[in-house]
Amino acid sequence: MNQVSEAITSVFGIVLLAAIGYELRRRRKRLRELYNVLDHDDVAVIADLDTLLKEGSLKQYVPEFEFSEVVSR
Amino acid sequence: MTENKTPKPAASKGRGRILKTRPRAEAESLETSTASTTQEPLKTAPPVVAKTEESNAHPARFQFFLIDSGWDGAAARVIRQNLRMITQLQNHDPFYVLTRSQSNEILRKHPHLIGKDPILLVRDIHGARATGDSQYHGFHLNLGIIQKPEQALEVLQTFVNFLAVHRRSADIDQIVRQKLHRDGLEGAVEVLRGGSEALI
Repeated sequence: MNQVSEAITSVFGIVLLAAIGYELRRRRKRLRELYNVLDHDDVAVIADLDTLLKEGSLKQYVPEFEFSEVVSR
Repeated sequence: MTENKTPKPAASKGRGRILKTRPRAEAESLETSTASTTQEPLKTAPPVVAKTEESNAHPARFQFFLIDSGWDGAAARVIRQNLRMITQLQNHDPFYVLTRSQSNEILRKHPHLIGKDPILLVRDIHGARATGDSQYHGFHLNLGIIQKPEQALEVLQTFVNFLAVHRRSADIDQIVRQKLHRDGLEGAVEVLRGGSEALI
């Protein structure tokens, strides 16, 4: 009887660890998708962006206006 | 009857809150780097940096590119509404917004990015200079994979916070892996504890 309960506990333990490992991997994968460090796949993308910059067809974003502080003489 | 008029001081004319317009950077003013053209343009092209009025005070660390093909999603709305905040909190580093046609052209050429836009691509200019190696440095925030607007805003804020806090770090790629990807044992604990990112 003892052996059966130990076996059941072990099985549940293994399943729990596997579930934690799976969840950890899934969440990390999601984070890597979200915050992606530039890698070999992105080299061509950056090169295209550089080309656009050199052609002058990319415009730098500038806010339309900003409130200055009170000017005093 | 004597009139007791006192002349108004001329100085008051210039007082008060004024609306100051900033000149929009012209495409022609882009200052292309005169560094050597390279044998391997894909790997060794130096970053092309536009000269901004703030560049003297705060040398640009990053170059930002927003790739937004025009999906009408929550994340797209969030980033369009907060562009100004991003630029201001990043010391006005060069920020380039691709037009829809330019974004679509990029996505057509690189289909693995489809569905991930709007993408905020951050190029680490300092990283390439500091290490002197031939690889690009930087990272991108694939905001398009977020569905809920409040989560998109939270992720965007986390990203901007991260860039601002670590903008002086020598190897920011490594910090991205540690802090954002939650690598390592400590990161595993953080993930399992359920940080804000884990709710995605």
